[in-house]
Amino acid sequence: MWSFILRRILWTVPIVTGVVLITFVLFAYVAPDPARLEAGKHATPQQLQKIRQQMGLDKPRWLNTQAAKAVPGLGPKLAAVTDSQFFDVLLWRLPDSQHYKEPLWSLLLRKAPASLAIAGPVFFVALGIQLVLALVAAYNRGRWPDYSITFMAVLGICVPGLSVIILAQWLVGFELGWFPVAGWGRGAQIVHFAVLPILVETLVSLGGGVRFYRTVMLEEIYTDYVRTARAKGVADRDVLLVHVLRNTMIPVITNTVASLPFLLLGSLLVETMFQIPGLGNLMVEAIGNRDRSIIMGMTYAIAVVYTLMLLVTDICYALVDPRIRLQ
Amino acid sequence: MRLTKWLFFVYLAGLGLLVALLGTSLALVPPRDPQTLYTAYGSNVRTLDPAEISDTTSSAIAGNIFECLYNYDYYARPYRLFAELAADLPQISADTLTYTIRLRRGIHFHDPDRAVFPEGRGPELQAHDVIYSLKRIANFHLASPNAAFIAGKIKGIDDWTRYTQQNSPARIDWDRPVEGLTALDDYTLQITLADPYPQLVYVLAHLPTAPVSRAAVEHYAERFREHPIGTGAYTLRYRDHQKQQRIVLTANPDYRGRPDIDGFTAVDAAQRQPHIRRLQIDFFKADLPPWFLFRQGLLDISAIPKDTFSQAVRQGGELTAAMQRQGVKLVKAPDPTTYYIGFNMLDAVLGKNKPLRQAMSMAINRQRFISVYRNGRGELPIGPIPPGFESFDPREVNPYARFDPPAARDLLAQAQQIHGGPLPKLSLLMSGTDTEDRQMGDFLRSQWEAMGLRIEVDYTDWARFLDIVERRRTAQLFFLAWQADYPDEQNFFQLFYGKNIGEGGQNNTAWKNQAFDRLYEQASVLPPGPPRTAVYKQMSRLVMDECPWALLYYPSSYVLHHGWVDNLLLSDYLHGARQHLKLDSSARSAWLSRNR
Repeated sequence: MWSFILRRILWTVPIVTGVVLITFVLFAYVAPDPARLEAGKHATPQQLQKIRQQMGLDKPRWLNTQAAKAVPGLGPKLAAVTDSQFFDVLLWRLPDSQHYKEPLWSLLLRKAPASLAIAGPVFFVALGIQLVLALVAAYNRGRWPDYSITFMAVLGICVPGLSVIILAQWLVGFELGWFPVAGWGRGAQIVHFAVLPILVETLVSLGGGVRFYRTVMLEEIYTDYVRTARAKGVADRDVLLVHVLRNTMIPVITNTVASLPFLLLGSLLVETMFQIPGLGNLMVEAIGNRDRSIIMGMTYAIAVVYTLMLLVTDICYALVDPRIRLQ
Repeated sequence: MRLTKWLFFVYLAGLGLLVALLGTSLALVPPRDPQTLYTAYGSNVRTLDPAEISDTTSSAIAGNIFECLYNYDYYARPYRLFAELAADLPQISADTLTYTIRLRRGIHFHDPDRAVFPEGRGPELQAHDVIYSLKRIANFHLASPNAAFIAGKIKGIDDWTRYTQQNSPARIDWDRPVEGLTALDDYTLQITLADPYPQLVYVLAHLPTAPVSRAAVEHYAERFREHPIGTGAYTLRYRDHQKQQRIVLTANPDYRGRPDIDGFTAVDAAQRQPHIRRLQIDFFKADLPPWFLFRQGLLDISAIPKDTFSQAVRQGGELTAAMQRQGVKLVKAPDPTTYYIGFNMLDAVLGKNKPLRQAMSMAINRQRFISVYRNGRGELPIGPIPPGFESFDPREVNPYARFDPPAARDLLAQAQQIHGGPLPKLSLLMSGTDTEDRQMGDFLRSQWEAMGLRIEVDYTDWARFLDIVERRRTAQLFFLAWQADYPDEQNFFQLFYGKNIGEGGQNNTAWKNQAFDRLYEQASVLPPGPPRTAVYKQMSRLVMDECPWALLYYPSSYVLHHGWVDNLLLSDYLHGARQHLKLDSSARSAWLSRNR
């Protein structure tokens, strides 16, 4: 198992490098000069030069062969040749955010708790509700509970998230005044602002999960072993909770673990509309501002976390299903 | 079974947490502080270091913390300069190259965190602070977006920039003299220019030139942008700055009470500014939430989102009855901005075909454009200079800025003769990709296609747009606007000056006209006054006739405020405007208790 884990961790290196490479090529060859954008409408040549320096854009794109020629020894040569724009990204030597003039780590650490404060509760509550509704729908297949739940789930998928958010802000926040329309606070005040986005995000995320888990559970419910269990007189509750639920854990884990990175990375739409100072909001702003450091850094982080989570998924498979061996 | 139970308990715990949050949330309603004005901005603050500021939000907030040598009278329109940190307007030598500026006395920096100045009250502002601040803007390592305002203008400033470029930040000798910046004594400053530059007074009223404390900058280094220490009416404690979320400014206890007096001049307590003790500014990226908060009385001032405009303003530009019943007030003001379609004069089809440019300009139904896409918030254009400038004359007639399809078709026939046959398909580049950009692009295309032209519209983001228009110059037609930096027509006319063609230059259309260039150079050495205004009018007429721009409209700003806020005027250039506002907090409390 340990060799499997080590091998999978090593696999993340080419995957992450590939993601960084694609992002870098897009920025280096397709996107316009970020220094010019940063410099504003009254740019002087000196200012552009300095901004390029600050962004590391004065270095060669791929390999700094000239610098390598000037230094003796393998180690210094290697350090010099990788003093380039691409290796700056790959080795996480990202400059400060151009827009906020703040180090990337400082921004990520400051923003992550807000994203987690929303996405954490949403994750746990939504998962529970999705599983329960999916079980009820699957068990009552073809009857009114199934139709109602499926109808609501499809409705949830079809209605755009933005509409639900605006409706909630208008109805619950503005008209009824139960929760603040938007905003964020400090300390205990966060609770005051967090509830409505949590409720909305939970509601928005229900439909897809319920549909998916219902399909998975239906497949299980009509398998031979369930029929056998029922024939042997096992109670319906035990059939569902012990046999069906446990055997649907593989797709549940796949779906759940794959969504874990987004606990930290936040929801772009909800954070933007509710003005939650999280990573989703940061990413939206970074895209709008063409903030190269943030976009590169976030893409990098997403790639790393996602590949690591896939590894966690594989390990969970083995824990849940004894037939699976990690080799 | 264990796993199932575990999952069940996790779910129950999550549900319990949500219920607990719900209960706590309903119990935790932050109260409205009677001495605080609540407002919101649509974009975040980037920096609070004046030298680095180039965006409107940062400028609007830092403008309450810092002051400049000059500022604009809050009430006067057209804008009038007054001496803020300077004791009076500058004494200008006969050759217009030397400006002697006396400073007000008794004005101190204030450090709300007491990290640089333990007493809070810092040293008195002196001439060397002003010199230091100007040298800082020209410091290569700061890469200030405002360096162009003084680069090449003040004697020796370019040498200073080169010197800073050749030395690391730690090795820069800030006492090294710059030929054109001299402190005659602690309270008298002399600025010597390389060439006449009458706009210098406006530059000295521009927030980036606000004097900063050298001790504070050296203490905080790059973090000075988070620890603004100025002389203005408000201060910002570090703990009151929740980045990208909220800023709370507090009245500066060392402020002199009015911007146009010395520090030790007594001011009647009732007249002392700022009138409001705290300003809370929240940042919202989306339009609707702050609009709802304003309607709930939780924000005191608000812009009007495009999609809810009809809830607030009727056709004709007056408030709706519902808004009037709620005691909301509307403030309107023209922006010093001109929206236009730029013609690329380097383009083989457009550059040599004046009738084509004129025809395209006359084919646009601007009234409809303003009504549909700007909710009526705009004026029909006349020339490149919008209202609010001395040379703007509403009686002036520009036939090419009028919607006149028959005349446009006649000109198009001439244009085809000049071209030597049917005109090829032309392309318009829009500076955005959202729905509104697409609707506006479609509108313009339909206007030109109606007179027989073939048009394609391309949409791109702002960064690429700048790259295409300013550097590559491959766009034939482009949608753009210019907002003035200071109330001098020169700020617009630099966009047409022949020497400003080229990378980094402001002349995006690459229009070159010898007569215009001569007038521009003539005006550039004239002081403000009727002779210069007359030259500006001639320049305007040349631009109108030659049509390097198809003018679209002059925008107007509409801002709403509740009845408990008083003395709100919209201002485009001046800083520190919030100190003039008044707040009737008892009226606000009464309104909130009635409407909750």
